[in-house]
Amino acid sequence: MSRRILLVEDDADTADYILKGLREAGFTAEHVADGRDGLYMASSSDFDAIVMDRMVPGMDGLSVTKAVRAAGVGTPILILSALAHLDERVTGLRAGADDYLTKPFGFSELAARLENLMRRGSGKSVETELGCGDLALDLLSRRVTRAGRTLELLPRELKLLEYFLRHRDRVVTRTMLLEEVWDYRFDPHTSLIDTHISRLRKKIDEGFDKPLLHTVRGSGYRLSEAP
Amino acid sequence: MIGRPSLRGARPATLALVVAAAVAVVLAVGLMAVDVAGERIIASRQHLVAETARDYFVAFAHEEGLDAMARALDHRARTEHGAFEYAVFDNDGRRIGGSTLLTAEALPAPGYATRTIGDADYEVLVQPMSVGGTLVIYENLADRRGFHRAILGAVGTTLLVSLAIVAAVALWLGGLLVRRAHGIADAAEKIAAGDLSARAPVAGVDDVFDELAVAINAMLSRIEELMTGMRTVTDSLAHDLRSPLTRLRGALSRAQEEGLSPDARLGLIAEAQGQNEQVLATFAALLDIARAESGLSRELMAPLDLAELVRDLGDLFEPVVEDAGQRLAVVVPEGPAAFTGHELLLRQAVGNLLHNAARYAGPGATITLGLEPADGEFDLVVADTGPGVPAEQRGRVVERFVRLDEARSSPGSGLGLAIAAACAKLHGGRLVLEDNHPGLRAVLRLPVAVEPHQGTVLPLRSR
Repeated sequence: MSRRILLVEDDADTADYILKGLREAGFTAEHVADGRDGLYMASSSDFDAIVMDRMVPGMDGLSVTKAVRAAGVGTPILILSALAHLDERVTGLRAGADDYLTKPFGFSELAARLENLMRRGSGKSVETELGCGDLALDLLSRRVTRAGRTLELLPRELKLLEYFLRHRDRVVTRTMLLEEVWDYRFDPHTSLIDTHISRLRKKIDEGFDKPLLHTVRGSGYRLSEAP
Repeated sequence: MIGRPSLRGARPATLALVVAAAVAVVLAVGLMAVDVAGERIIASRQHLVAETARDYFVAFAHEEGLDAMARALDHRARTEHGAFEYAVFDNDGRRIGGSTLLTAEALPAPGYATRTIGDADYEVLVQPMSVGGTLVIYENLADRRGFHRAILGAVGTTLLVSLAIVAAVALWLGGLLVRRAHGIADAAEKIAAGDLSARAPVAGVDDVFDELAVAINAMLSRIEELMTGMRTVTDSLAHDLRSPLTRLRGALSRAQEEGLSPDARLGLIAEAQGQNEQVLATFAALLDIARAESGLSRELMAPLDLAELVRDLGDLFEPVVEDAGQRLAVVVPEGPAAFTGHELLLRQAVGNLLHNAARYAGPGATITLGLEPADGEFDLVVADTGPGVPAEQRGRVVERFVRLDEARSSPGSGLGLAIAAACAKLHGGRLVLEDNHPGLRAVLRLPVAVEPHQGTVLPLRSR
């Protein structure tokens, strides 16, 4: 069964762009342009995730989010906003949203985040070990092995690897890494994340015949066995 | 010049005229009072003289007889020429001595009376005597009036002189007040005409006008600071947005050319994307600064651990610093450093300082990221051993968009230090750039548990 996404967005062009992307990615998407309709849809029907514009007519996105949460609906909500400043993300998350994305954005960024939200929502049991192929991370001893060989990782590399392992086989964008691993706003002028990735890659992939940490052109990175 | 009738109506001369008129009215009333009182005093004095003479002559007649008295009066009339003349009449109505002014028939009833005789006015005292006959004393009023006029003249002159002095003082004082007020109004008009450097004059006499001028000037300085900031933003925004937008357009139009290999096309698109992101980052940074400066971000202040923040950022930046051929030393005191602040903005601010250090310090430099707790404040320090920034340029680099010229072409919006400065201000502190001997030492000085300030606050004058 294909997953259902509710899109609350009043701008027709943006809505078309997102709907087209969602459908190409195999989602079923419903679209409303008004906040009140959004609230009605979100609380009366079952969705896997909601993409909500911050400023929609009828009722603004934050109020809809609060109302949806007040109605006891736990569907993951991603807020889209043209308000780019630092405070906005916090305000959005405080209102009960699960993620926050600033316009303009690339569809790959939105897709990566949606995947992430829906995985998170599926609720997994507490794990003590994470792995990908022959790479394994023991969460209790913080020990990393690949093909039975112990790898020496710095704490920050461990943190990064853990994030990748928890998002295995999914695209992780630079922005997601900075925001979620370091609480830091993405700065396009720097190679901050690329530097961290290349160091991590050197440790986990160098000397092994099959690379696990892949660069996804135009989007970010993916940790998976498949190339 | 813009007309402001309400402000400009009060000319010093007008003010002096009003004061002088008021004083003149008061003086006129005073002069009238002096006139009435003087008249009364002179009259009673002259009556006293007349009555003393009367008593003398009545006693004289009583002792020496009427004839002797008549001779004495004749003698007196020949030898004395004062205001007073005397005459004596016998019981038959014949004048037997003294002045010939009136005949017996023309004599008024006993007591005082006023008569015009010839050209002159006289006050006539008619006194019948117990020895018989009537004593008449004439007082020529010309003397009395002359005396009265002299007194009035003296008083009047005094009053006129006072009036002149008052008018002069009013003119001077009025001129002073109006000049002071106009000084402030002039400054306001210059500002309105666009000259933001105009300031209200401060005379240095510590009066109410000085107080007003100082307060207005402080306000103007703040406004000028903001306006200059705005102007720099407009100028630099044009530069910082136009360059990436131009490169973006260039990349896109080249990507449209025919006969390009798919890889080359993708490369151009990636380049366009990079430029686009630079534009977006510039906007985001501007919004952050605007929010921090306006104090709107204050609602997101929360307790946090500065030590953890510093260690985290050290973690994040160490690989970049190392790749630049530099060394990063993180110096944090043991244990947590509790602070209430805007965590995201603080991370951004310190991150920007680290960026700058990594970018400008050059290979081989050591960058120190430190947290230094001091009395009532925390210093977040990013120091490098690079070439540093000349002292005279340190203030300038904090401004929005200002990059030292040689670095102008390098990427970066030039907003990094401005964000750090705005962040410090939001927390009630400041960004200090110092000499690290060698290199630059940037310090975010954050006071603990102090109400963050709302902008330039005027010291309240104690009265």
